[in-house]
Amino acid sequence: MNISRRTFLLTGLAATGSLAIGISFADDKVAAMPPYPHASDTDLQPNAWLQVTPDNRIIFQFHKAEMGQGIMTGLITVVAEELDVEPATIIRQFSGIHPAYLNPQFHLQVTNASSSMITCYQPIREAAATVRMLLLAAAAKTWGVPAGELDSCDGMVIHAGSGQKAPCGDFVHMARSLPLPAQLAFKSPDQYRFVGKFNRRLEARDKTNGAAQYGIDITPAGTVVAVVVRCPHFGGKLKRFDAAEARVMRGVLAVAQIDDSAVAVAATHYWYARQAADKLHVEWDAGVMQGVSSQTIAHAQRTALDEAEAAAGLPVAPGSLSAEYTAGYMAHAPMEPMNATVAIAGDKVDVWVSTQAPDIVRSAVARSLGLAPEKITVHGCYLGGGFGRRVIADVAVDAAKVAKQIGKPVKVIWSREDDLQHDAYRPAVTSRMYAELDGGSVKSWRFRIAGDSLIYNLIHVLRPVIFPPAMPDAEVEKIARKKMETDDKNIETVDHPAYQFGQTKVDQVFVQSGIPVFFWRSVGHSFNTFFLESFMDEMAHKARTESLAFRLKHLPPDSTESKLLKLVAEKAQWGRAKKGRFQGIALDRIKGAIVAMVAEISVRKKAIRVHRIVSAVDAGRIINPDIARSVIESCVLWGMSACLHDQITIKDGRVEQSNFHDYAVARMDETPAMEVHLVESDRPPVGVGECSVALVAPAIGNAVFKATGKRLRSLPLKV
Amino acid sequence: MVKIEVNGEQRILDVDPAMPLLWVLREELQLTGTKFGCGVGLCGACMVHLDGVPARSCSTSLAEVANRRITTIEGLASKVGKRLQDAWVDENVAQCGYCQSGQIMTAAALMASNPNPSDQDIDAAMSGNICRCGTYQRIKRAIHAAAEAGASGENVK
Ligand code: FES
Ligand code: FES
Repeated sequence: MNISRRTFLLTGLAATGSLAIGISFADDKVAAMPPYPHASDTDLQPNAWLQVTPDNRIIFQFHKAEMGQGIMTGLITVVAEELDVEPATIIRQFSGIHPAYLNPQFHLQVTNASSSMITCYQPIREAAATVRMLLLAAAAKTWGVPAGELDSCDGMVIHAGSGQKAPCGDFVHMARSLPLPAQLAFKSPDQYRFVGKFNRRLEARDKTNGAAQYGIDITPAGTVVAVVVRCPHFGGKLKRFDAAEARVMRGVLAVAQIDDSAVAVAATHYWYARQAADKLHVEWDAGVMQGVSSQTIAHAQRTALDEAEAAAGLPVAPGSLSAEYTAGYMAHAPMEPMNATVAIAGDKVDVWVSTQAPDIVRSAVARSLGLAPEKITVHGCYLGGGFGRRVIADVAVDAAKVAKQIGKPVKVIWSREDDLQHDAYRPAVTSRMYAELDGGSVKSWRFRIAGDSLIYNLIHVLRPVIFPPAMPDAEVEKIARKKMETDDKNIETVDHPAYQFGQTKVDQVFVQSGIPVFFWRSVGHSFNTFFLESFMDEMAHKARTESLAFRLKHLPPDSTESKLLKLVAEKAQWGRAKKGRFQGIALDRIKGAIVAMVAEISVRKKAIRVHRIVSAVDAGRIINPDIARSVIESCVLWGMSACLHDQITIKDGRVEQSNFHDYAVARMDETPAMEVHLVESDRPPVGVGECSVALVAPAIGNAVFKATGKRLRSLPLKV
Repeated sequence: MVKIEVNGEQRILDVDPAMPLLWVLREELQLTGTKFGCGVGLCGACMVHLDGVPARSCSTSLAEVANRRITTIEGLASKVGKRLQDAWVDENVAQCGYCQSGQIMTAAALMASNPNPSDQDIDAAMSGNICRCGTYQRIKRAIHAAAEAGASGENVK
């Protein structure tokens, strides 16, 4: 890979895969590939992922973020298969940052967009096959036998003919000097011991006994704790503050303004810092967002849609169907609150943070401290959830600023209140759909949506890593606005619906609210799949056709989509719900996965109770079936939690919710029975971490219509 | 100075007695298995046992636990606790894992008083524990599995 002139591509961020943003990297002058992480002079390490030591240990450099999606086990299973060793015997190390690990979809070392398995499967198979072939070649040379007669299993090289057998480690020294194999041989799938069979999450034990370390658990010696009091109004500023009372409180070490909208309180313990922060007297300038509320934002979106419709002037046929749908803001609220630890020693900086994007952290911290990114080391750890939130480096920058000001290593911990009020949210959007039916078929379908631009916000998040540090704000803003023209996140999935409609027309308008928005598990699907799949049922109703039959009518008969719909209908006993129970169906295609779902619900006194959710999923070749199932269950619960509980609302340019009492999430007692049916597939593996989120809301909404006759057109759902 | 007993060890602490036990455990005693999730008693990530009874350590002051027996996930050594941990591993419960110390502590307390809980018992006992990864179905399954292992006298791993 030529890394001297890297270009940042947004290809993978675009659903169509056709959008290249073409922004040059700030570190344009990186010359050569640095040494591989944790390199040694004695190990066999022909690539950035794998090491074999002379004493026969296999070490895997884990370059992704393990945030619950199971990618650590997934990648190691792929390695174990090619090396023919038990996955649990492979030693796992957090790799740190290296150019070999750039996610080819984003040209960043980022774990997002369900992209890990899609992008890593082949390179990691190749890495493992290379190691195996080098070891066999070295053994062949040592023993004077053809490499083709050798086999390796469970860390041993075996020559069946002569009965010779020796640990792989014995050949490491010689293998180091051999050329890389010209052609790689892979294990054939019918020989697989682990892929498609191995079902044990490798870090499971550490996650049941308190041993797993998350960012918040790592405390280097001498670290103090800080909390940050930030202006609650987006875009607002700090006017003045009085810290006299706070400063004299027990444990308090320092109170300092860290930027134009925040004050930090550092103390020996979190509790002392928090207590003192409560005693700060702060005056905010609410700024330009003062009068902005969820209502004014929705109104602006509707007005923009009215104007766009008037400008388009498309005819509306008599008897056609139209509807307006909306979705509210949502916070990510991962279980581990935002936190980061920064230690500055001279011009060397260490950062410990649960992050999906260590290189964004590195550049963001570097920019805030006025240092080169190479001076910053970002250490790996487990993440207490990510869901898109941990692509943003804001809390690491907070910690860098405090560490610099007080001259001590510092851990900044945001409270849950900070987390909910200073997230970047799933956008609130308004959409309108229009359909003309002809003999029970959709003759034409139009879709228009208004909302904030995710790409605009993404450019700002990526700023430290894609632009030179000195680029003026105005220039960044100009580029971010320009990039909105190529933003297709708000039309994800509807821009290429699975269904065959006669004519389709999809349009969007951006209405910039000033509320920070960002990628939230399943992104544009999280609202568009709800809109499209609910409207499918509206159209089916109008056509007097049953929901499943109406969908099948608009799909190629032998498509995977049709097969999955039929499969899920069969597994869920579609159309045969018990008395008082009602079913809804939905379909989604996301990041290479195809999912069909049936939800079974009842409604009592306006309360929706979900009893059962059945999914049928094609996610390509499945590496770890039970882990995949567990993650798909997680998707379902996430989707259900979001559509049946609270949303984030805005008043005076600030978030009204503050903790799990007013931003409630799903709990044990409302968990439905979940069934996941994975179908055999010969496609290469894809990610499942988002695949079954977005269709939960329409499946439930469609069932609610059957139960009550009421069509729910807003997220979250309220009867 | 406040004296407490954590995982069988006596500890004498020189911090504000009003400090929540959560932060005493995490920052004074480096017992980081007990997690901070909401800070106000809403999520259960900080669950510990006080004399065997489940308690949210974020909402329990150090003063309140003076001279009491505190058990954290690191010190969960009961047979029931071990069986639960084994079942958690077998059922692939943990995803991000962040909530799971709290889930297991709550489940262990439930099973200490009710060795074979019904679905309803589990819902009632466990609904104070949030899991953002949505692992509830597997938690329930793991509790049933641990109960069965206990009933059949299966040895812990
Ligand atoms: S941190 Fe104690 S209940 Fe949430
Ligand atoms: S496993 Fe992630 S919050 Fe429960």
